[in-house]
Amino acid sequence: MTCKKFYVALLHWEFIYVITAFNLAYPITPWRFKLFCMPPNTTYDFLLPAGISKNTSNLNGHYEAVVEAKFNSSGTYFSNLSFKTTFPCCFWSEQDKNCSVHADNIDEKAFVSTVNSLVFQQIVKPDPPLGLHMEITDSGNLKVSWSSPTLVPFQLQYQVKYSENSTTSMRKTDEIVSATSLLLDSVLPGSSYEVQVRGKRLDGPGIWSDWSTPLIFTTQDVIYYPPKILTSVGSNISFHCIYKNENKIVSSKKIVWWMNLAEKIPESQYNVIDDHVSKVTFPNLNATKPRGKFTYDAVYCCNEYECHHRYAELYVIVKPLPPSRVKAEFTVKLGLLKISWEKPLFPENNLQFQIRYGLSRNEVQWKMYEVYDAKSKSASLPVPDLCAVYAAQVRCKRLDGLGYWSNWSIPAYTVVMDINVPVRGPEVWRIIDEDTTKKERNVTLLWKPLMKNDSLCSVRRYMVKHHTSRNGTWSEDVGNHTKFTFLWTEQAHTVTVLAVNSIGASFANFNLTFSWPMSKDYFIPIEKYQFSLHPIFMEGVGKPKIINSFARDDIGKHQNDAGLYIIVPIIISSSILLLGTLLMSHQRMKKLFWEDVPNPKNCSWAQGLNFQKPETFEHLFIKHTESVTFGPLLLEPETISEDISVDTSWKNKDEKVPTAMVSLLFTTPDLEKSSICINDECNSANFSEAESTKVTCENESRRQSSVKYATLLSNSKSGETDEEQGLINSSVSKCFSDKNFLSKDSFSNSSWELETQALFMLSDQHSNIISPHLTFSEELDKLLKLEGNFLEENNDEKTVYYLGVTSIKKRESAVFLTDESRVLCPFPTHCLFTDLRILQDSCSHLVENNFNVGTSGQKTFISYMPQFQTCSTQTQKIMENKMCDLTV
Amino acid sequence: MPIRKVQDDTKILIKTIVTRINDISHTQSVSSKQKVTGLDFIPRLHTALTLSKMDQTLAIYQQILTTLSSRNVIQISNDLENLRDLLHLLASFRSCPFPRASSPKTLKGLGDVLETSFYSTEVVALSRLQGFLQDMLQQLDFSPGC
Repeated sequence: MTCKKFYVALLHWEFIYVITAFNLAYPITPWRFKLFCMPPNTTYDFLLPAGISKNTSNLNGHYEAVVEAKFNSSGTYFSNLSFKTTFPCCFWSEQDKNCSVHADNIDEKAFVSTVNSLVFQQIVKPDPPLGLHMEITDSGNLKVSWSSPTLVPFQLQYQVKYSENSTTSMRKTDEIVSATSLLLDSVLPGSSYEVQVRGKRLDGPGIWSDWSTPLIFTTQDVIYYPPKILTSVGSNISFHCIYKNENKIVSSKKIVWWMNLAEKIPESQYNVIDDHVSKVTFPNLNATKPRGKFTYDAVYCCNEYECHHRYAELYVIVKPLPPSRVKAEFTVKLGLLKISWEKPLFPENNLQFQIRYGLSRNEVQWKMYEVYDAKSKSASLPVPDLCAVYAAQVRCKRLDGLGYWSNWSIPAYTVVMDINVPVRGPEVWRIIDEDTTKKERNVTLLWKPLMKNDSLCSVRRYMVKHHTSRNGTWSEDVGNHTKFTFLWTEQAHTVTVLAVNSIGASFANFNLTFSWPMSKDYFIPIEKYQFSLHPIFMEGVGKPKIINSFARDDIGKHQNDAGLYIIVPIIISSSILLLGTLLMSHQRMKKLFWEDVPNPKNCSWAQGLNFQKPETFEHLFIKHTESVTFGPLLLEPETISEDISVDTSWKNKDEKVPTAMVSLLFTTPDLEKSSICINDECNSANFSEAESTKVTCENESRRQSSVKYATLLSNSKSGETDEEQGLINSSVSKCFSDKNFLSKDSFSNSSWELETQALFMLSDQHSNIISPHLTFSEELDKLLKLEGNFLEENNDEKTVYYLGVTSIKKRESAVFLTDESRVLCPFPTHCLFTDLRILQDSCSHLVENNFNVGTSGQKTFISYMPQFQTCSTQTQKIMENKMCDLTV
Repeated sequence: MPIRKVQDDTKILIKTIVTRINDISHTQSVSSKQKVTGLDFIPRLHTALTLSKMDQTLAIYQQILTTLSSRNVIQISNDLENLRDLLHLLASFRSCPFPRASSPKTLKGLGDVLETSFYSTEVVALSRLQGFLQDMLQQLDFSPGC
């Protein structure tokens, strides 16, 4: 079946056009080949289309299909087989035969592609070499050189064939070279050489190219080698010569040398190399004297008296001496290659200099730099590699351009040394040995040793710099190690690895900050990370891709900032609110206190005080305490004390007079200063002018009594002002003695109702003397006695007076006044009022009496009672014993 | 006699050219002993010279010197041109059928030789020219033929 298919396929033999010569960019010259494909087990002959020769042969019992096609660079015709089989093919060209081809015919076009890949792409016939050239070397050999054909994507090998004098048969050289030149035999004068070269793929299958176009090289009858010599004065040179005269090579012994056809060179300078080669040597040459336009000496090789017109040219020139003391070094810090020299002694002309420098290698790739300043002695040049050995040479020439360049100076080499501090510190990685049970972690730092270009040019040691908030900053010398372990104990620990060379430490370094979080959501600010992704190619490491990561500290900052944005306004608003409250309170207190302040003009104790601008409350009353001892101010502005008597008068009703009366009790050690009412008669006229009424009474019978009290009128009920005034006026002139201590008229209903603070007014003849001589029982008896006296309105002998009783709730701020101490004392807080309940009852009774008999019962009296009094320590002690020693 | 004057002028010019050649320094030292081969296109000495032969030889030398284009030999080349004019004048006085010799188209091997043997060519050409002019000088006294 296969054979049938193959036969049918051959009947439909078609040609396809293969474009671009099987995907080869390299153009191939037309050439002919034969492809022998042998279908397996076939005995059928087949037809080939016109244009392709067909041949069958019996080879090893099988028929072999021979297909010959002409292939050129523009394309080829090939068969299109429509069967699926595999059969071997042999590639046959004029020079080669290759039977390693197996063509698989899977579909109609696969055959071509298979052949393409297996045959045509591998078996390449290159173009013949180009640019054939022959020359005579300085050693007298023929050298043939050529160049490879253009656009060859692979390396070629070459073979040379040549012939002499065209009469002899061509001979191939046995040597096959990959270079593009070949030395042939020694040259013969007066000969003709024909040479050809061909090439072939060096690696892999391929066939030889065609032979190149032959080059015919004819040698002269007289051959000089070298044909020209350019040398300087004092040097020694030699010329070789082969002389052929009338098709016969002259014996070297007969050769004579002439200079410029005018002077015969002494035979002592001749040397016979072999039978045909003569050599002449010129020692210690002098400079060539120009002869007309000829700047060289013509050296003639002569056959005795017969000289050939060809000659060798000898140029002996005068060069300046090369610069001396050439040095090459790198400038520290600047990083420039500095080349210095000294001008040669000769010539004395102004010179220009030429510098060549390059990396010191086997073959230095020189870079040139020219200096046109005759006074220059150095030049600094930028070079890419500061840590490599550079070679440098200098030569000179006359600045006017005449003459020749001197020889190059002896090369100078740089020494690799530290040029500057390292460009950067090493890149650092860390390994954290984490122990969850402890807050100590071992951190191991690893870093890559700096290369020369970064260290400029060496690293003496590495330094690890630590920084913690507790211990500050310190450094550790790691030496040349690239690993370092330390104990991380603090919450935040920053390390920096520095590279140190002989000049200093690196400035740009990598920091690593280690921190553990305070809480789950809180992160210590850390450094911003930079990730470098280095792609690795076959050729090496590529340019890295650098990505900057987020910095957590920024996030933390934002969060903190957000909190700050909330807290700060709250604080500000709270402050404003508090300030406002304080101001309002201040105004309110000012109103409550100072609107009822008596006119200093009318009140002796208030004279000298500036009520508009009181420095402090204490100051206000300290002024007062010159005569009266006060305790601290208790801010109970609405406290009502019982007024014993009211002595107010307003002459001018239009005056803004406080309508509320506030009781005022004070002691007056200094009677003259403290009160104007120290006598029996009350100076009502004086009082009448007071804006705030103040009534002062004293014990008439006991002039030493220091217990004074007064009431201040407040305007708590302004609607009752007129009536009040009348009432007040009615009692203004009323003075009272301790016999009429409690004035019924002086009590106000409202004051007792509204205010519950109790006040004791205790008078004592022994002013300013505290006499704790009473025992507890005595004190109790006295207290009971006093209580009884309170009930009796006309008990003149009693010195203890109830001014009021505070409520239980407010008794902590209740005050009492002893007549001996003449101070107002608050009730001790722990002094149970149960013990004083009797007083309260008495007071209640007293109040009732007052209400009943008081003429001012309808008035509202807001007592002006500075509840500042001091209690003696003993008093407190007594109170602590649930006893209020009121006599102390 | 005009012919005598022309003949004298010719001799003076020849002597001038010889002097010019002698003034060229490097030609003075050339040894006459050495025979330079390979410069066969440069005319050699001729014993029997006629006016036409002289003109032809001078034309070759003129071409060679023009090819050399050296500053020194350009003047000599111009002198050779004048010398040839005088030779034509002499021939006209003698009523010789003396067609002016056309310059040779190309001297065989001149280009190759000049490329590699410039010095030899110049030296040999001037040397041979000098010898030729001296021969001419002698021949003119004997009234050479046409």
